[in-house]
Amino acid sequence: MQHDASVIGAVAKYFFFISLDAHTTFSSSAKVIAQLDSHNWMGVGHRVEWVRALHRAKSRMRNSAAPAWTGGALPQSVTIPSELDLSAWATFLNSAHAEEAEAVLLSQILGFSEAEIAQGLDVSEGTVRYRVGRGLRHLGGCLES
Amino acid sequence: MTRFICQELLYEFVADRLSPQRHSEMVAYLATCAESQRELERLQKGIHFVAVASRVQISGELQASLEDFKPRWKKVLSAWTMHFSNQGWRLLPYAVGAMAIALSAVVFKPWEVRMRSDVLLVEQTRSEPDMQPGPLPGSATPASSPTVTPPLALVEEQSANARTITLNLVANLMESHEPLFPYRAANLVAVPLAPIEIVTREAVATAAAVSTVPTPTAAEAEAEENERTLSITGKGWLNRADLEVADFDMAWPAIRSKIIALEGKVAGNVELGWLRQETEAYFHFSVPESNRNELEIFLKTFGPVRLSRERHPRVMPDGQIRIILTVRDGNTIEDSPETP
Repeated sequence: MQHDASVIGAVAKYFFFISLDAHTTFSSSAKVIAQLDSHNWMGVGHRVEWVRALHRAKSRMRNSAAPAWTGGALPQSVTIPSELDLSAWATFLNSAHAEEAEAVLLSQILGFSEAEIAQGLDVSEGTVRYRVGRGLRHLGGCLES
Repeated sequence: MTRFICQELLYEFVADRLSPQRHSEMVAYLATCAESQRELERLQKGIHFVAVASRVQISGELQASLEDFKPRWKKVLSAWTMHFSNQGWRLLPYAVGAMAIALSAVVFKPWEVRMRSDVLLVEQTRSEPDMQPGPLPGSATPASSPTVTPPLALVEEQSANARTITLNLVANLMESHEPLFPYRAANLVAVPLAPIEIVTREAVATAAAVSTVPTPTAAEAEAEENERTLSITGKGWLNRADLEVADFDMAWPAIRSKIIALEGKVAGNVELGWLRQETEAYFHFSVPESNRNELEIFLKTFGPVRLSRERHPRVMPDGQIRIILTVRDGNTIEDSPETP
C-alpha cells in the first residue's frame, strides 16, 4: 500500500523524540499509521487527526517512564544533525510538564500549526502558545545546565 | 507590566505577535529586569535547539519498513493462503470458514439464547403482584436476626394469584413452542417450576401475617453476585444509577412512590426501597422505557445522579428497562459494599 511519506515521517519523528528509542519508535509508529490508514486519514488534509492519534497513542504508551539518552546508536533509523545534543532533550522530557513537551514537539519540531494542535488536543490556541512558550523556556534552561 | 506578565509574553514577543504598544512596553521592561532578560535568553536557546532538532530525518529504511509493515498474523495468514493456493486446494479457506461457523454455533448455541428470553419473560410477569405498595422497607428485618422464613414459592410470589399467572404463562409457552421445539418445553418445566410448591390463598395470608417482608439471605446475595458475573457476556441491558441526597429520610420514600407512580415493578428479591443500611436505600425495578426521562428528571431534583449501563444476560421485554438505583445519604458517605 502506498502511504503519504509526510505522515510517516511526522509520526516516526514524534515517537522518536518522545521515546528516544528505535524499537519504540517503530512499534508505536506502525500502530498509529495502521490506525490512520484504516480511517483513510493519511492525507495532509487530516493533520488534526494526526495530532489526535499521536496524542492518544502517547497517553496509551505502556512505558510511560521518562526516557534516558545514553548516546547509544540508533541503527539506521534516524539521521541526527551533529550539533544536536539529545541528552538535553532527554533532560527536558524528564523535567518538563508532558503537555509542554508535547506542545514544543508538535509545534516547533514537527511543524504543526497552533490551530491544528489546538483542535487535535481539544484546547484553545492561547493554551497551545502558553505551553509552547513555557516549554521553550524550560528547554533553554536544560541547555544551560 | 509585571515580571510575571513579561515572562509569559516572551514567546509572543519573540514571535513578534504583540501589538506595537505592548511590544514597546516589553522592550522598556526588559531593559530594567535582569531575570526577565535571562528568561529571554533561555527562550532563544530553546528556539535555536528546536530549529536544529527539526532537521532530524527519518531514514529511508525506517520509512520503507513502516510503509510495508503488516502485523505478524496478517503475514502468516497470507503465507498460509498462498501456500494452499499453490497446492491447488483453493477451497480450503472456505472449508475452514464453514468449520469455524459450525464450531461457533456449537459453542454459543444461538437457539438457546432465544429460549432464555422466553423464560425470563415469565419471571418478569410473575413479579407484577409484588408491585403493590407493601409495608415500609424500614421495617425490614436484618438477615442475621431470627425470622420465620416462608416457603420458597411464597417468598418469591407473596400471592397465589401470581402463581396462577405464572403457571398459565408457562403452560401457554409450552403449548405454543412444543410442536416446533420440544426441548424448550422440557427446559421450561425444569427451570422455573421445579422448586415451586403450590400455595393456597390461606397459606399466603398466614405467612404474610408472620413476615410480609422478604429478607435477603446470604444465598440470595451470592446468587445475585453470580448473576453479575454472568453479565459480562449478556445480551440484555442493566441500568445502574447512584444518587446522593441531602435529606435521606424524606427522599427515599418519595422516590419509591414516584417509581410506583411511573408503573415501576420490583425486579429483585427485595422490596422496593430496601434499606440496606440506615443511610442507603436499594431499588431494583423495571419501568416502561417511555417513563425513563421523567424518572431521571425527578431523581435529579434530589442531587446529581450517576447513570451507567452494562450488559446483562436478562433480556427485558420490548419497551421495558431494568434499573438498579442506590440512594445514599449524602451527609454520611462511606465506602459501601457492592450492589447485591
